[in-house]
Amino acid sequence: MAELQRVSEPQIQPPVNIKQEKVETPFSTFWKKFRKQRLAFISAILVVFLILIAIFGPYIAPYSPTEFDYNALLQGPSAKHWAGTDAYGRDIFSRIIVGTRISLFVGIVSVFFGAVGGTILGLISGFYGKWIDSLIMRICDILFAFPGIILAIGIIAILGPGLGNVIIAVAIFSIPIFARIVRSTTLQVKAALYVEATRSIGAKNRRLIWKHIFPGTLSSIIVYFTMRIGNAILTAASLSFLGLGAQPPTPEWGAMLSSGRDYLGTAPYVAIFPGLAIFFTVLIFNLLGDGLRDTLDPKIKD
Amino acid sequence: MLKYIFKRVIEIIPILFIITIIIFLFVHLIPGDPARLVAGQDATAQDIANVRKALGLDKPLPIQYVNYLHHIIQGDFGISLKTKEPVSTMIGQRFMPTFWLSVVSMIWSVIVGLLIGVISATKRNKWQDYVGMIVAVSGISLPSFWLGLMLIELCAVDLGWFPTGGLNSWKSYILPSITLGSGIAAVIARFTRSSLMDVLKEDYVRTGRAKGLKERIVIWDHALKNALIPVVTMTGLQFGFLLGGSVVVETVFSWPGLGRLMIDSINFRDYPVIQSEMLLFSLEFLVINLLVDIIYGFLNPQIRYN
Amino acid sequence: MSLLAQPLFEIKDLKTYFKNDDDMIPAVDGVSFYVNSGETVGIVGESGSGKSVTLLTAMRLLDDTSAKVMGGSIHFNGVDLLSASERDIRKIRGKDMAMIFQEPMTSLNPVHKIGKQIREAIEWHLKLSKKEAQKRTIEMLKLVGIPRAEEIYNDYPHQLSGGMRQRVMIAMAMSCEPKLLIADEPTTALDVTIQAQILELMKKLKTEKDISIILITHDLGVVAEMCDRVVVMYAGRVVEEGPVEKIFENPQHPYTKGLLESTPKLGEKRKRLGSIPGTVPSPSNLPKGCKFAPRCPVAMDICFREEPTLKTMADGSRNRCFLHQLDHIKEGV
Repeated sequence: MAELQRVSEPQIQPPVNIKQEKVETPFSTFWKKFRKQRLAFISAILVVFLILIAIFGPYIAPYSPTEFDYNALLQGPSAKHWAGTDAYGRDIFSRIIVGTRISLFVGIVSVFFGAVGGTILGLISGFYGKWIDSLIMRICDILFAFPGIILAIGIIAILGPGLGNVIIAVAIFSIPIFARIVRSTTLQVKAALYVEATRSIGAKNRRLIWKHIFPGTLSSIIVYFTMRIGNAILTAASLSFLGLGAQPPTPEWGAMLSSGRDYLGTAPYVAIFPGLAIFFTVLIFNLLGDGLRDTLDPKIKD
Repeated sequence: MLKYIFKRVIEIIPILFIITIIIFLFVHLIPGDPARLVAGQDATAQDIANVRKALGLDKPLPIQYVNYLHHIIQGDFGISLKTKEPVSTMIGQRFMPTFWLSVVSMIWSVIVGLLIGVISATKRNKWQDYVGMIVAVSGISLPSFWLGLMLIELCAVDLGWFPTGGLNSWKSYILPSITLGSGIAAVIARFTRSSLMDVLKEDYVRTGRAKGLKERIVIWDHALKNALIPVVTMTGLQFGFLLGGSVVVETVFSWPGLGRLMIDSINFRDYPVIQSEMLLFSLEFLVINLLVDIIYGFLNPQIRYN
Repeated sequence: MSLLAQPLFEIKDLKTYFKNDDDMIPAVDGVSFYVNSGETVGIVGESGSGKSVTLLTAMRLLDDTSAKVMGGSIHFNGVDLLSASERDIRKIRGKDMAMIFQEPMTSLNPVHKIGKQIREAIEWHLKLSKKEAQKRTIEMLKLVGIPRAEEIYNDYPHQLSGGMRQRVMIAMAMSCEPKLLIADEPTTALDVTIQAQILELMKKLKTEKDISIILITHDLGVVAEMCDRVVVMYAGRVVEEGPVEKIFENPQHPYTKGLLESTPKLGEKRKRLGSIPGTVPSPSNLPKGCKFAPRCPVAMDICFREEPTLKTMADGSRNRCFLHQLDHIKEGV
């Protein structure tokens, strides 16, 4: 009989070959996964690129966006004017570059305010429940009863045209969207946390919301935030196109398209290039939003 | 099922009232005196006072609101400041063009959107999926006014196939409905894809395969029947948006519809028209939401049968 | 029955791996067993042992974007299941080989009536007309003990209880006279009383219809009730296999012993129920050597270094443990 090495009492022997796993922070997990989404990763880089253009636009544009040149009216794209000139001789390319700042600013700021407002409402609604939840959700239902652009137009009709009011209008109709999504994630997190919450007796509600519930909603908020920016830029451009947003001579893309409308047959590039700018900008943000959603929280639907 | 419908209808009523209140207050939210707005720029103080009396603006707000409701129910939406016509007539004239444009746009966008969505979901991660999704995400990123202008430039101005605007014949519908429909088709495609992909993971799809049925049947009869339920709901909502919101496309194509009326009215500050149109849009939207909920209840056996 | 009769169903050295980003995770890593005609074989193991994956591979129901068969073969009734075309597999699925699943609540299509869900397989496989298929469907529903079968025929799944739904699943599976029924934890999601009813039903079908059954379960009580032979799986491998009485009376593998000791038995006078310390290892992080060694009360040094092979004992049972491969150790150590 061979000597059997009998271990005298039940012991849990550690597996001999445990890999030394690198400590992974949430961010590095996210980063690893995000990098794999090639399209989204490229979009992220392009967004950074756009932001840089927005910031440094006026300094890198070859011409001033408001500089008239009556000797060069409605010229087609050339070496001197990459995107041609408009009816006042202004260089379209420069106007587009400067317009980047406007569109990005309006898009990001309006959605930001909408997100902040909606998040606060959503957290309160989800956390406290009962009558305040019903009240907030009813208000959101009412806001949802208006198609987005109609609501924006209505608000503009009251406040008057102008980019500032466009920001307010877009922010307002973004609020219920965020409120709903934050409320539902709050409810999920609340259910998951309840066991812990009962143990941390004495923790003030506000602290609980801020430190525990809010971080759980953060990934949804980020995804929605990015996804709404594209829509906000489109809405702002549409409003400007209709004459309700940016006023001349602001080089806002939608407004540029509106003036380009008159020259469609003769100088179509006046309308083509600003439109392309809008398209690519919105496309990039939408791709980024999709990528973030697939990385962070694939359960979110459009 | 009836209980479900009843409940939904009941839920709408308070919202309906609040919306009428908001719309009613709309005129009073605008900076300036409503009576003066109606009376016009060169009205004298006496004119304004007369107008105020005639419109009942001297009475307390709640009474004004009741009067407003009273008028609405009778179909009296006021007089346009611009054309002096009854608003109800103006809106009545513009309603059908918008309605038909919405219907035509909806038909083709649903067909295209569903096809792309289903193909993408079933050929997941293969080239059909990538192409489909690129097309779809481009569709939602495209500014509709730009697409419209480009189509006009290409097909109407350069090629002369279609008119550049207005509503003259069936040809007039083509370009605007393509423009309107592309955004909707894209949204439907994305949503169908995600809905179908979710359903394909469900246990009952596995059961369908375990029975040895043809894959085509599993996808179309087993999976899609479930996946399309939320898509139908969403499509209905899109139609609601279309009815009220094709402001941009109507402007680009000079379409004689409600959207363009809205813009003209805003530019002219024709408040009775603006008010009435907003009321109409939100009413349409609410009603469509209600219809969509009812259709959903009908499609989902769990609601249809207790 | 000739001594040389082929088993109805035989898996040889099956390896099914799952893709996870860049790694391949071995969910099933070298599983072999067989089922003879008319036998009921139980597959036992804790969650994560790979028992479901093994049989899902046989039915070719795994999603091939994430799962890949890395080796081995599966034969059923003379057909090589892994290399057969989609068309041929579909002829077998639902007809000669049928499977029922663990969750009756989600395994039935919510938008189809019960009758249709059973009838469509009958129409497809047995080429009956709608009317004939309907008749047969109602017979099946009665066979599985569903009261008011004609009414239930027109009901939707959500109108039925869990137990009833599982009966419907069984009716569905049996409707085309399968030779082999694979039941993946059919009673796990049900109440204990309903469990007993379903098991009774399956026993009745077994005797009446003379089918072979593969019963996947983690519940040894069910195995004792129903099975002729039992296959014990751990971490994607078979660790013991043999006739039920033999395994229950005299388990060879420490894992099997541990499972038996943690199952309460009627008439036993023990005070405390045994338990196996530790947890099942994740397939992406398996220990070197014997996969059970970290939790094994009698593990030896060699157990952590080398993995034992599945060896056939004199009485025909098999196990994967160095304790019974002493000659190997003599040479090795």
